[in-house]
Amino acid sequence: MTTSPLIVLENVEKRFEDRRARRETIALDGLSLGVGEGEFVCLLGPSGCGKSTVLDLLAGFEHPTRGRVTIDGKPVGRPSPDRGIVFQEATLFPWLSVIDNITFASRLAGRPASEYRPRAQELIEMMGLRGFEHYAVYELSGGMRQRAAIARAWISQPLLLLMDEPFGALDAQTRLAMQELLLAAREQRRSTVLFVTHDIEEALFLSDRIAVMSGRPGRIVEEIIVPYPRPRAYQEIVAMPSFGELKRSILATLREQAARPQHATTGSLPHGDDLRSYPRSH
Amino acid sequence: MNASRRFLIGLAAVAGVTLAWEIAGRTHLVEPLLLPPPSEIVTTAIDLARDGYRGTALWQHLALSLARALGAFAAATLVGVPLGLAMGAAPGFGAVLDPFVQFLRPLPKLALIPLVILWFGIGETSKVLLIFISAALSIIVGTAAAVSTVQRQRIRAGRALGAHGLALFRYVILPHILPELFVTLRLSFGIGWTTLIAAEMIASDAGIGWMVVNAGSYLRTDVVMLGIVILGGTGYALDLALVGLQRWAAPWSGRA
Amino acid sequence: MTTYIRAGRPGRRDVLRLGLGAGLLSLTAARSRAQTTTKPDVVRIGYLTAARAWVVGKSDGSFDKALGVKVEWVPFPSGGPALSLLAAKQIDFAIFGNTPIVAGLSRKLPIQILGSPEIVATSERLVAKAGITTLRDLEGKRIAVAPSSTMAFALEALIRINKLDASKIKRLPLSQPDTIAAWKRGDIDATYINGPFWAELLADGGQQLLVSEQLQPSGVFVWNSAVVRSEFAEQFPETVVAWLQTVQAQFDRYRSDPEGVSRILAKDFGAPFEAVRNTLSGLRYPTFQDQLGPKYWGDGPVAAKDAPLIKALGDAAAFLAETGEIKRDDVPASFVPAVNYALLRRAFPS
Repeated sequence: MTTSPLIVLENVEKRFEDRRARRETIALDGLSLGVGEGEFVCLLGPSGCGKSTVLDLLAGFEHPTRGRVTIDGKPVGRPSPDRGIVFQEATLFPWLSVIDNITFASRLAGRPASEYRPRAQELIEMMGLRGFEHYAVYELSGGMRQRAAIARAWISQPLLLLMDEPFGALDAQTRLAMQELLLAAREQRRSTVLFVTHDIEEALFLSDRIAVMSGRPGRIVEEIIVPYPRPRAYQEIVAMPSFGELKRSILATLREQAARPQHATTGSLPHGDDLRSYPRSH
Repeated sequence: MNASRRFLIGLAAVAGVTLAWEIAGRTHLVEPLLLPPPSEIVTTAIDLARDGYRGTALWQHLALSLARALGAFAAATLVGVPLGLAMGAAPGFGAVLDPFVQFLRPLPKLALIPLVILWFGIGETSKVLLIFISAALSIIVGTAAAVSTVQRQRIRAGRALGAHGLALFRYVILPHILPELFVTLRLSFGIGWTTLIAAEMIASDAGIGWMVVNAGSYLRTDVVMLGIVILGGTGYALDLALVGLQRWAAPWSGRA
Repeated sequence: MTTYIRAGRPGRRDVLRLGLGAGLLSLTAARSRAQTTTKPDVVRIGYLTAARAWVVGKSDGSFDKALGVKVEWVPFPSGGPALSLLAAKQIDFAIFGNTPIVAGLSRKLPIQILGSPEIVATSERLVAKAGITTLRDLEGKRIAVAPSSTMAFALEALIRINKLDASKIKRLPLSQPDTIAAWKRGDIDATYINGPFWAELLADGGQQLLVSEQLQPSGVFVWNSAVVRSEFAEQFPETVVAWLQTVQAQFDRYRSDPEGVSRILAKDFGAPFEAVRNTLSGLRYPTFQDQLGPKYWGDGPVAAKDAPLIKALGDAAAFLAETGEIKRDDVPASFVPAVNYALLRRAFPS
């Protein structure tokens, strides 16, 4: 971790009020995390533990109930292209072509074409979308859509990239190809990335550091430095003895969390089922 | 089943029913007075195309009805879409208008005729207004519903890309609901078109809807059937035109 | 007795099932089953939803008693719907205007005329806004008239008789209640209208230009005829005779006590007594006996050719063909066969 982290989450609490059910859900409680500039951090945990909420706070979609969330020393304002976001579902706009999707934010901000055109072209090359610039979204495969979505987030040269299980909906082969593509692209760009996943292997392959979250209410229970040098090759990394050890250790932490009594909500049933059913081999 | 096969089967079904209908009429299995056979309707069509009906050419009856319906529909779209968008986008505004819209929408438009005459007289305004009301209410409700169903992730994606306020509306929400909007427009046009008969009961002496009602009161079932065929065929053709427009304006409909 | 029910009841369903083979077959089957029995199970009488003297027999069960069967009363708002009800076999008897009856006969609707117990005299009037004092003044004006009504026919006749420029008179087809609204808004200049509506317009400053009776010297008669479905008349002639005598009995009752009958009808129709009394007094009620004579329908089929009402039916048909409401080829060569003189004679022997 660098001395002055780019992202600081300090003792963050986030409650959601459900008026109809007359109860309050505590999504995050006492969560602290720092991410340094240029760092690639994976947020690991089962679905429903509040890791997407962390991204929502950083994106500006939500605001913390208590605690501090800053980026580059400033509190998070409304959503903006300086924090690029890639969602699990392709949220490309179907009424725009691939190139128009990628340049959407630039055109909206009124930037000159001479500025964003070459950048878009570069990203299209990098993401392997050459020749598909003028395709309609519905003509693309799932992997291509996610590549376009990454290009769309990246074109504004964001301070950080927030990725919410971006490859979760893809098949295993495409997922691996996308992971390799992301790593290769990041080698050139040196972006800060906060990447949410529930896939331990994905976290180990991609990140510099893994922050493991507890069950709801979410907080960070363990941070693991991933020791592998870059550039990384998947087949080499999975073959390392430490890979298996790290994986087992993280899995144990997650299981331990699952066994812990859950205080997910006040005035209602706890919400811990998905953690207990965390897959045994991943 | 592919499209051409479907079309052929549909064509065969229409031909079969027409044939059975003709035979039923010829053999007096059905009283021709109650249901004139297709051949009589064709003869009537030729007569009316040549001589007109009640002093007005057949195409003029159709043109007049089309002008009333399309004029009303265009106005309903211009008024209904922005209102529906506003209702969907601003829940407070929606809550104010909703009870009125929901009250008026299911009302049989025939019930409004006496009031419409009192307020707007017996000219074209009243006829167009009646069609306008029924189409516009349906467009408002459909548009508002479409706006409220826009996925949260799509809106978030737009905001994250720097679209806020009007820009979000103009560049994200509006294009997003375009396919849904076309469905609403098609539905509303159907509703407006069915109001044509009610509208043309107001002091008319021309129009296909009027023709059907007037011929009915003289037991001219052949003219009634011809009018129904024309109304149905025209409605069908206009719906196809809207589908074509949708394919052109929102080619991603149903695919993304 | 149930056989007739079967023959009569499929009527409504007929219309719905048209186009479906099954419906067609059951229809023909039902038809062949209909054979003569002396009395039907039920008699359905259609009547106009306006106060008419003979309908006084509805509320006190006179018809049920006289016919010895259950009677159902079916209202209709005007002649057009009455034709549809007859075509769909939903009613057996009705009394309504000669214009729609001519249209029905031209369309080969199987009905027979049973005389003309109501002749329009002053119940239908041409009323104009103040300032329009002569018929000539109507040129360039807008006149509302109920579509496909006897008033529409009378209006065209008066334009023709008085040699007014038809192209300069804008005729607006409007229902009578809508006419009142249009009058109040100033959308129309005149209207040919029924009672009690004209009373309202006269009270509102309207000017009466003409009553229908004034057209009679020119051979223009407007009247209401009694009709029966031909099939019904063939099967149950005795019921038809009894019905005719009962109708006459109601008119006799009105003649002897117009106030009393008006009071009963006013209650029955929920209309003001004055309006009902005025409406009823605007019609003339020749007895069926009188109708079978040279002044109306003629004695019988042979002598009837030149009878005034037979001729008037021909005129009305010519008018409808002229305006394009009916096909010229559909107009019967003679309306004499449409009148059932035999049953009229049986009901009212001379």
